[in-house]
Amino acid sequence: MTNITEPHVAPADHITGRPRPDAGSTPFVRRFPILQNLRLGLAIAIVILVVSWAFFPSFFTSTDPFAGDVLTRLKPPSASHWFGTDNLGRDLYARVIYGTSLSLKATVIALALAFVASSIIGVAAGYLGGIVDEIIMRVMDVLLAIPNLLISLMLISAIGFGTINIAIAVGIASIASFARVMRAEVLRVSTSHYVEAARSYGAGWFGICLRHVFPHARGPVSALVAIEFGSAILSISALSFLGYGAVPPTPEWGNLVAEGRNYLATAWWLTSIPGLVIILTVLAVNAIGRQLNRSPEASR
Amino acid sequence: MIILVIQVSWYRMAFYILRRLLNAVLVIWAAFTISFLLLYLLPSDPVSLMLSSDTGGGGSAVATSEQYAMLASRYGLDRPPLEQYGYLLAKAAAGDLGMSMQSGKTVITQIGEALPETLKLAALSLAIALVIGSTLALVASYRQDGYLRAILLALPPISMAVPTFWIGLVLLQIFAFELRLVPSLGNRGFSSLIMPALTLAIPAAATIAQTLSKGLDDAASQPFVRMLRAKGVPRRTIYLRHILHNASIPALTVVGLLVGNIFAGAVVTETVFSRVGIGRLLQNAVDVQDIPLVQGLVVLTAAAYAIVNLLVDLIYPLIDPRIRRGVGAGGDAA
Amino acid sequence: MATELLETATTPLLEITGLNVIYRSGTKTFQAVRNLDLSVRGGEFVAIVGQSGSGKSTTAHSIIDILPHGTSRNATALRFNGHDLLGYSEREMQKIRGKAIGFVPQDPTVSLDPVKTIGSQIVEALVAHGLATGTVAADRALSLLDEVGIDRPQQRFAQYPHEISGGMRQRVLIAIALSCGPSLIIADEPTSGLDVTVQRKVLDRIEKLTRERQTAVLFITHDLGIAADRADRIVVMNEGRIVEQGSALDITRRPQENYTRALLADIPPRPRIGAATSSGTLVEAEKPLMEAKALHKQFTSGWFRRSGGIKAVDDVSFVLEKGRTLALVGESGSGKTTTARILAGLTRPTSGEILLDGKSVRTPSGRLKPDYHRDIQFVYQNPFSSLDPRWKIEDIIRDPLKVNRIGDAASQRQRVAELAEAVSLPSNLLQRRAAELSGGQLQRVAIARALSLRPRILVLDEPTSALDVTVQARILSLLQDVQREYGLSYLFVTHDLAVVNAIADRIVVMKSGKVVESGTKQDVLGNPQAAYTQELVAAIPGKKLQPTITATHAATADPLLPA
Repeated sequence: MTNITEPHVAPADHITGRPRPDAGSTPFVRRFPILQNLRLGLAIAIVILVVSWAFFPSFFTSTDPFAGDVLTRLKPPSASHWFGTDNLGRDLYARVIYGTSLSLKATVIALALAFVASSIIGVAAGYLGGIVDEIIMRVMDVLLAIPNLLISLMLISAIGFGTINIAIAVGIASIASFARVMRAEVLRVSTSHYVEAARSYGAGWFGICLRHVFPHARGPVSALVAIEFGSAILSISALSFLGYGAVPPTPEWGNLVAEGRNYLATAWWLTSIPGLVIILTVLAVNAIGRQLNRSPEASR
Repeated sequence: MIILVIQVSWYRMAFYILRRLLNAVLVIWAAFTISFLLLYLLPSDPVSLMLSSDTGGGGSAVATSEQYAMLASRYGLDRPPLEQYGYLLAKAAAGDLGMSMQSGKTVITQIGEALPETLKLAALSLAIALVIGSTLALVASYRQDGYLRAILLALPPISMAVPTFWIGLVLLQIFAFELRLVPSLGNRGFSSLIMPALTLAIPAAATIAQTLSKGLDDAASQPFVRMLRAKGVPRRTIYLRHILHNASIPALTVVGLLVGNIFAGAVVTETVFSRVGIGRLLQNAVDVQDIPLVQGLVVLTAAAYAIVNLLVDLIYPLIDPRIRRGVGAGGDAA
Repeated sequence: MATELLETATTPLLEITGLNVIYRSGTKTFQAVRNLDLSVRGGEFVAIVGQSGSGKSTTAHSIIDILPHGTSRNATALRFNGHDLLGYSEREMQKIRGKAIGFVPQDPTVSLDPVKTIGSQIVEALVAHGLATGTVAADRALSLLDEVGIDRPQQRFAQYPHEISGGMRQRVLIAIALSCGPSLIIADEPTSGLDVTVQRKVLDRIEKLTRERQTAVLFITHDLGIAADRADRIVVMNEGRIVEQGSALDITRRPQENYTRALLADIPPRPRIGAATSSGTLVEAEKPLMEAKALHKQFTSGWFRRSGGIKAVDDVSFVLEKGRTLALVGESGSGKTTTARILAGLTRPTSGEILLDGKSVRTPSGRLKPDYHRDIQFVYQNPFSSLDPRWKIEDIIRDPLKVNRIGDAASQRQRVAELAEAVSLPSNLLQRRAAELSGGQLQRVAIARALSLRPRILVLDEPTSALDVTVQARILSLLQDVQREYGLSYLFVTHDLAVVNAIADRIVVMKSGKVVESGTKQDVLGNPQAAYTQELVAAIPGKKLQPTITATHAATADPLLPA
C-alpha cells in the first residue's frame, strides 16, 4: 500500500535540505547547469581528438617520433616542440601522438575481452540463477579479493611481456568486477514484474532479452563500459610504466613516462606531459560515462 | 529472561565469528588455487620459465636436461597437475611456499625481509588516507551549501583519474628536486617514507571520501532524519550521533577493500621511489618470472586482505545492530 | 458557514492564515499549498483529508518547518500558543518541535534510526529539551512504552527497530511524540501501510492518550472513513486548497461541496454485521470453473537449509465459479498473494493441485500446460512495475497477441483499439509511453493487456490498493462492467473488506497461510463466524459514514475527472 502524498520533487536531504545528489555529477558542476554541457562537450572533444591521434597520427604532426636530434636534447616545451624534447632530442609531442594508437589498442583489447567474458558470465549468473549463480558469484567474490594489478602481474609472469599481453592481463583481471555489475543489471530487469508478465503470456526467453532486458540494461552498462575504459587506460599505463609493455624505442603513454623518469630533476615535461594526457583522457571518458549513467530516461 | 537473550546472541555471535574465520581461510585458499592455475598450468612449460629466471629474464641460457629434471621434480612438475597442486598446497599449508628461483632463498625468508618496510608504508598511507578522506567527506557534507562543498567533492573523482606512478613522480619532482625537502629515493628513515605514503594515500583517500560522503548524503536523506528534526534534536547531534553512525557502515567496507589495493599500489610506488619492500620484490619477481615468489606474494596479499576483512567483519556487529542480532530475529506482532 | 460559529468560541491553539508552499525542482516549481487558512483549538481532533498531491502532508510539515530545503513557505500568520512561528529561527524552532508540537510520521518502518535502540530514541527527545536525563529519562521512556501499549517495555527498551513489527514501531513513534507533553500532535498518515487490525489499535491508542491529556491532534489522512470515526472537525483538501471544513458530522452528513460529495460516494460501502440481506445474485449455483485443492507452498533459501523455511500457503482449497468473483482476503503475511500467484501459474506450489474444467493444469511432470495463459491472466498490484516504462501503450496491449501470433498486424491493432475502448482508455494515450501515464490509467492498460488473449479468468492482486479512492471506485466499476460483458471469473486479492463488499460473490479469509473462513459474501461479512473475521470486519474504518453512504451512493452524478 503505497500512498504517494507528495508531488514529484527531487528527493531532498532532510537535514540539510539539499536536493539529493543525483548519480552522475559532481556538485560543483551541478551548481552551474551551463558547466555541465560545457564539460560534456569538452569531454567528447577530447575523446574525438585522442581517437584521431590513434588513427591519423601523421595528420597532427609531421615530425618523426623516432628521429632524434642531438642539438635539441632535453628542450622544454616551445613553439617548435610543443611538448619539449627527450634525452635523444626526439619530439615528445610526436611521440605522444604516435604512442596513442598502441595505448588505445591495448585498452580496446582489454575492454573487449572483459566485456564479452563478463557479459556471458553475468548474464548466465543473473538469468539462470540458483546454484549456477551462487557458484559463479562465489568465484567472482574470491577474484575480487585479489587486487586487479596482482592478477594482471600473475598473468604477465605466465604469458610473458608485451603490449598485447598486458592488454589481455588487464582484461582478464577486470572480469570479476565487471561481471558483478552485469549480473546485477540482468537481475534488476529480469526479476521485474513486466518481465514476469511477459513470460506469463507466453513470451520467449530470447524475445524478453531483446525487448526488455537489453534496452533497460543498455544505459547502465554503457556507463560502466566508459568507466572501465578509463580504468583500463590507467592499468595499462601502470603496467607499461613498470616495463612490461612496449619495448623502448616504441612509444606508448606509460613507457613515455617511464623513460622520462630518469630526467625528473632536469626535464619535468618528460613525465608530466604524457601523464597529463593520460589524466585528461581518463577524465573525459569518465565524464561521458557519468552522463550515460544519468540519461536512462523514464525509469521509475 | 534477559540472561537467556544474551546467551542466545552469544551463540549467534560465536557462529558469526566462526563463519567469518572460515571465509578468510577460504579466500586465502582460493588465492592459492587461482595463482596455481595461472602460474603453473597456464604456461606450457613453467620449468623453462623458472630456468630462464636464473639468468634474469632473457631466457637465453641453455639448461641441461639434468637441471631441468631436478627442477621439475623439486617443484613436483613432473607429476600430473592435480598431484602437483596437492603437493604444493600441502607444503604451503605447512608454511613452505618454496624457493625463490632468483635468489635461492626461501620465499618466506624473502617476504620476511621485505614485509616490515611495506607494512610501515601501508600503515602510514592508510592513516593518511583515513584522515584526508574522512575530513574531506565530513567537511563537505556538514557544509550544507556553498562552494567549499562543491570544490571538495570534485576532488575525489579527479584524483581517481590520475595514475599512481604519476602522483609519485610529481611529488618527487616538487618536493625532492625543486624544494629539496625530503630525500628522493630509498629507505632512509621516516622522511623517506612520507612521499611514498602520500602517493599511495591519495587514491585511497579519494575512495574513502567518495564512499563516506555518499553514505552521509544517503543517511541524511533517510526519513528518520526528518523525524529527528521533528523531535527537536539539534542539527549537530543529528549529524554526529545518527548520520555519521549510519554512514560509517559502508565506509568501513571500503576501508577493508582498500588494504588489498594499497598492497598492490606498493608495486608501483616502491618502484617509483626505489624502496625495498613487497611491491618491489613482486616487480622484480615478475621481471624475471620467478614463479614461486610471485605466487607467494599473491597469497600474502590475499592473506592481508582476508585478515583485514576479518577485522572489519568483527567490527561490523559493534556498529550495526542488524548484523549483531541477525535480521529477522525476534520480530513480534504489534 | 456553520464552522465560523465554532471557531470563535475560544482562541485557537494553532492558527494559520494565507499559507502558501512552493516546491522547487531545478527550474520547475510546483505550488503544493495555496492560500490556506486553518485553525486548531486546544484539545481538538482535526483531520485533514485529501488524495495524493492534495497538499495535506505539506501543510503538516510546514507548520513545524521540516519541509525540504529550497521549498518556500509563506503565510500571513502562523501562530501557535502565542508564538509567532513565522519569525522563528531554526534554533527557536528546535525548542518548539517535539516539545510543544509532537509529530508522528507516515512510515514507521523507516522513521526510526536503525542503529540506535528504541529506548535511546525516546530518551533523546527528553534530553534534547532538557526535561530529564539519565535514569529519570529512562524511567520516563519505560512508562511511555507501557502507555502506548508495548508489552515487556524493559526488554523492548534495549531492542533495535528492526527487531519489532511495524505496528510496534508506530507505537514507539507515538511515545516519542507524547514524551515531552506537547499541546499539539501532528500525525501525518500514521497508519498508512499498516494492516487494518493494527491500524485500528494504533488509532485507538492515539485517540485515547490525546483525549486523556487534552492534547490537540492535527491528523492527516487520505481515508475519510478514519476521519469521520475519530475527528471533531474535518478539513477536506484538494489540489492545495481547502475545499470545505466543518464538524465531522456536517462534512459526512451534509457536505456542501460537490467534491466532498463525490469523495463520500466513492468510498465503498462498509459491510454491516447482522444485515445479511441476500441480494439474489447467487440463485443458481454455477458448476466450478477452477478448483484449488490442498495448495501448499513453503519458501526455503540457501543450499543446506533443512526442512525449515516459511509456510506461506498451508492447505488452501477453494472453488472459483464461472462468471463470479472470489475474494481472497487477508492481511500482510497471510499468503493471499502467493496463493493467487500459484493459481496464475507464476509460482509453483510445493504440493496441491489446480483443476481447470475438472482437469489438472499441470502435466504429470509438473510443467504448466502450454496454453494455460490463454485461460488465466494476472493483474499486478503496482501498474508502474508491471508495465515496461519504455514501451508505448499500444505495444504493451498488443504484445500478448504478437507473442502468441494471433491475427495479422491490422487485426491486432483493431483488437487493441477495442480493448482500449472496453477499459475506457482514451485512444490518444495509445501512442504514449507507459512512464507518462497516471496510476489509474496504467491499471486500465494492465487490465486491457490481461484481456487481450480473451482469458476466462483474471487473477487480480490488490489492483486498486495503490490508487486514490476516486480512482479505485472507477477501476472497480470497470472491472464489474468487463466481467458482465465477457463473462469473466475473478480471483480478487485484497486486504480491504469494503472493496470486497463492493465486488465479491464469495470470500475466502486467510491468516498465516491458512483459510480461516469461507463462504458467500452475505454469510462471511454479514455473519462472520471466525473471531479473526469478526475482528477484520470491526476494524474497517468509516462506521460513522454508514448511513450517508448508502443514501448518496446510489445517485450521485460524479463531477470529478475520469481517472
